[in-house]
Amino acid sequence: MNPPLSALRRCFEGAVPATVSTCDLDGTPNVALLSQVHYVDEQHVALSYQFFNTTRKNILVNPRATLQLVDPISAAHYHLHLEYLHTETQGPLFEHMKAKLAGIASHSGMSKIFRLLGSDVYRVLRIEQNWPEAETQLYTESSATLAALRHCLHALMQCSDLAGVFDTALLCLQQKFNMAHSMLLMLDADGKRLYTVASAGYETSGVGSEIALGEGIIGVAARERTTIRIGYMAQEYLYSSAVRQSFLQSAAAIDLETEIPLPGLPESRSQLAVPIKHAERLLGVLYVESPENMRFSAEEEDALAALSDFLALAIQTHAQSTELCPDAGLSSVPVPPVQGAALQIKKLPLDHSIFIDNDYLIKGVAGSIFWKLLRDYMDCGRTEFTNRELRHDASLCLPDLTDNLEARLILLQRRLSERSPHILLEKTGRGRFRLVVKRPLRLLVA
Amino acid sequence: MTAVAANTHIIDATRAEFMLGPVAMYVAACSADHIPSVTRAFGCRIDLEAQRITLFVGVIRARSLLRDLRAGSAVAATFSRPLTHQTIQFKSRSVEVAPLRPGDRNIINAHGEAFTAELKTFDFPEAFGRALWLSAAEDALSLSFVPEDAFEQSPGAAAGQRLERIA
Repeated sequence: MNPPLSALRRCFEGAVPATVSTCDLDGTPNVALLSQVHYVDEQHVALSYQFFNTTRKNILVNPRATLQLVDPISAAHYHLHLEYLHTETQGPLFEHMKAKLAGIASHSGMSKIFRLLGSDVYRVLRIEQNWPEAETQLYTESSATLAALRHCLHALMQCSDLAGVFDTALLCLQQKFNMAHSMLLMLDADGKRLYTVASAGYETSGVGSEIALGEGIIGVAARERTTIRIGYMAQEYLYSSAVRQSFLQSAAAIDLETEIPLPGLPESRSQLAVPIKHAERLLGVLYVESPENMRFSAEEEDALAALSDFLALAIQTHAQSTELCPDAGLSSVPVPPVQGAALQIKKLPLDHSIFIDNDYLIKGVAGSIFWKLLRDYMDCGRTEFTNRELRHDASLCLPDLTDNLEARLILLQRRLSERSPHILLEKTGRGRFRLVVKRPLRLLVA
Repeated sequence: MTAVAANTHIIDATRAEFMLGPVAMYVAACSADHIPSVTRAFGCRIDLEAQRITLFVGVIRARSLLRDLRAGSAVAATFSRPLTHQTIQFKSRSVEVAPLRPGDRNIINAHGEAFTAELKTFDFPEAFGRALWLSAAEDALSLSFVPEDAFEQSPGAAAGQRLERIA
């Protein structure tokens, strides 16, 4: 029996180059090594098109090709009989292969030479195990991965709020999948940037840090709404590089002042970014990375894709549930006394960035929310707030009713707990929170 | 393929040394209805004077390729060194399929040893390199041809260019 294509996914990791044979209409054969073979689905693979070479000339006149794949563990050989269909030069498949090729090129010292011109998509007509003749034991880690996923989903089901969902997801990645470095980013209101709401395994949390769509693996995965997994370090996709580019392209000095460093590993060798989508709407990105080469397998990619789908549902559910329970009970935690020197809170109207005693705190929608809370506190001494009132507050100009207010409050709460010991946001019930101010405030609009 | 000019040759001592080194070897052919076949080869002999390359293939692994060659297919053979990516392809319209000669098994084994050592530099365990070998238990045949054309296939701008014949 011939194996299903998905059982050969280990052969697609690029550890052993694949070989493709083609022939022209005169019957002259050609055999070439390939940098990358990409599993598209059970019936299709895509081959990297990097140069206009004989393989390319041949498939344009005779679409038949035979691909030899080698299992990098067992050394089993497989022959895939293919028919060329079309070439993609943009979009999710192309971007995924481009990122992966950048890693392969960097790993093999070919950064200046390997450049993806297109993704050649082929239909798989037949798969044949060429050697050994007997069926080899196909590598399966599915049971362990599945068990890890089951634990994660079960733990996520127990979470009572969105902050718990975020933290539990990353804790599970650490404990059940042994993925030590992870981040969760949400799409910003303008749909052009992602902001970090949770991270694990870094020196600093980087909560509030931003990355533009299209920047780095995370940005490309978000822009193309596709999972991207690379197994070797690709300089141009490193977080540190993306940040540097972002600085260079930014003309406004304020951006430098309000930049929160992204918490990525300086030498990330394996990266996996999975978009979190509810139906086709992008909510955010789940990202893991490792200093090891080839750390993440195809099965783990599948597991994180399933986890991300679950996260999308959880995010939606928690956002709605806070709206449905506006009258949940109040907390009886005592409010600390206000004392000491006054804190100066400055707001820059241009981007709603907030500075506490000249230290940058936050900007954008979360900045607007914080300013509204402070104004209410100063004007009428309010400290208790609900998500519902914020959502319907026209002064905040929330971009969209479906915008994830809860995620922004988590971001604000975490930034405050990291940057300001004198002002806190405390959850007091479902959909309710309290502003805790420990020092006198002086508000200033710059 | 181009006509072979008299008193010129494709394989010089430098190219021969490369081909006899720790390189991966792949052979392709195609059927009458233009369906390609491919296999891995396991070492080679080179007769510089006759400009003849002889590659060794496993009978079972190369079943489709042998069928195509016996039906008169042309042949393409690529030699590629993993460490440097240097790659050359040879093509010929006629191939002779023959049994192994005495000593050919030694060449196959020596190539297996050298290639396994090369793969170890990429952190592949020795067991993987050995699993790639053509074992003594496998029936093998030789494919012998005089190349009519040779092409540069190392990644880069020159990939696909025909290699000049040497006078």
